[in-house]
Amino acid sequence: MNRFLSSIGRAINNLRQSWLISSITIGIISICLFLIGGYLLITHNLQGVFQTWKNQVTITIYLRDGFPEPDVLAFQDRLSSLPEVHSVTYTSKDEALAEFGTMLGDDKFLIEGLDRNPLPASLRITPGDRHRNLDGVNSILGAIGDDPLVLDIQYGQDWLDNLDRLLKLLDLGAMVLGLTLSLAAVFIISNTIKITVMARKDELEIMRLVGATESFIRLPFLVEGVIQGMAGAVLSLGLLGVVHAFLASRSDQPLLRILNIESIDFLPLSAIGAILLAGMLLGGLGSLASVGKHSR
Amino acid sequence: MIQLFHVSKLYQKDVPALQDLNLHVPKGDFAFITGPSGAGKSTLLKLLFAEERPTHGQILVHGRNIARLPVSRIHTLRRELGIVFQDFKLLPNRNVFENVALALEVLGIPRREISRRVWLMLKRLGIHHKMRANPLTLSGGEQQRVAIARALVNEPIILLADEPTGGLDTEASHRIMDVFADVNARGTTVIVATHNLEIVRTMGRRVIHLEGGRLLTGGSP
Repeated sequence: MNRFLSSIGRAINNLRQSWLISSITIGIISICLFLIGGYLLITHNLQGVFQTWKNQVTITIYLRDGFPEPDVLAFQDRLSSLPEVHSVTYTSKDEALAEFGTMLGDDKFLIEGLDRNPLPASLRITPGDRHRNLDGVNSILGAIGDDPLVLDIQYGQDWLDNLDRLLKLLDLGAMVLGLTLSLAAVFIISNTIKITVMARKDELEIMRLVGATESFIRLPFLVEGVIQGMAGAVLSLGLLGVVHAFLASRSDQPLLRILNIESIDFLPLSAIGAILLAGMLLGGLGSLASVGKHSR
Repeated sequence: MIQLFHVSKLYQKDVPALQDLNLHVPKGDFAFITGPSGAGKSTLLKLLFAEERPTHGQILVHGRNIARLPVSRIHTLRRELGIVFQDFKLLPNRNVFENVALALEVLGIPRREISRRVWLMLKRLGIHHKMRANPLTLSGGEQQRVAIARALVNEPIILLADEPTGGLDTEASHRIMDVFADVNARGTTVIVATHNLEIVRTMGRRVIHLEGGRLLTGGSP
């Protein structure tokens, strides 16, 4: 414990003595984490949009006339019990006509005086959250099969195809961007810390000459890297906070209204924790890697 | 104390820096290693503090075979040695006191004990009044005394010095040698590599003479 405390002391001392290069390292770490955090901020806020779009994925089954209500209810129960299904809502012929009448408004007279109701009854299936995609819908369609009750099925196939492709593309983009930024961050950070290690080459040499153990030499560098990483992470979160505050103050932008975003949220606690942890890990590992390379 | 058996060191193939060296330095000895540039003086010292490994042969230092010492155990050897160089190797971002204290910090000695021992060592070498100074503001002789203080503060059993009077004038050189004689009188084995023959003559100690990586004279006391 004493040794660890003394390492912290030596790390802080080193940071103070090489404040310029330390500031550069902290700055670079914060820029890398800012980019990653900015990306997280955008995707976090777009989750709401994706969810709104996904909520529109429903399947409507129009039913043939003339089947007794118990048959329809049994069919509804069978569909409700499917694991992919969240809920099934029944709309009777009369309810369909009444809804249509409401939609027509002043033109309601068009359907008054019909000798029979031309609208079919229907079942509206809302898939479970994880199944609001092409695979989920196909799975439900397979389970419906060739039931004699079914007159027609509508689920906006083209729209669903496009949404599915868009979401997959965004997922892929997220992965590529996240990976690229993380790799770039590790590369830049380890090289920057390498400069600080190179600058202390003489100190490392002398410590070894007077009989310091490798752990005694490396521990302060590790602590230093972790402190720099944490400072970089805090700085990047601060910058993200400023950007967030700026965007939030302009949340009446037309684009946001089109995207159906009511307010711009800041990063969730889990993402803030991840950024802090990532900073400390990047700083610590980058530093260890550099000291290892230049240790002998 | 120190024994070398048929030690050779090749930096490049067919270019030996040391060839078939047999040497014995008993406890409490004071020996100069002399020879022209490229004779192998520095290489011999580097072998003794395990900065380099012999290509052939065995080296015993204080009872342990350092030719086979694992890298992870080198620090145990270095803690028994004091090492002094021509270029002092002082850290410019630490003052005199802190430079000397470094040798004790790495041993995990309590701060109060470090302060006591560093102060006594600086006093013994006559530079205690400059303990808060930056080493770069000191004269060459003073800087070398700081380096010697750092080498001696953990009470080594062997003191190795590579051209310790290299950049110093005659008077400063003699002061350094007086310090070494004093250290030796207190029981520390001292080995000094130098090409300053005037100093060697004045001191009248044992001379190990190397040329072209071979031992010419002084293999045993």
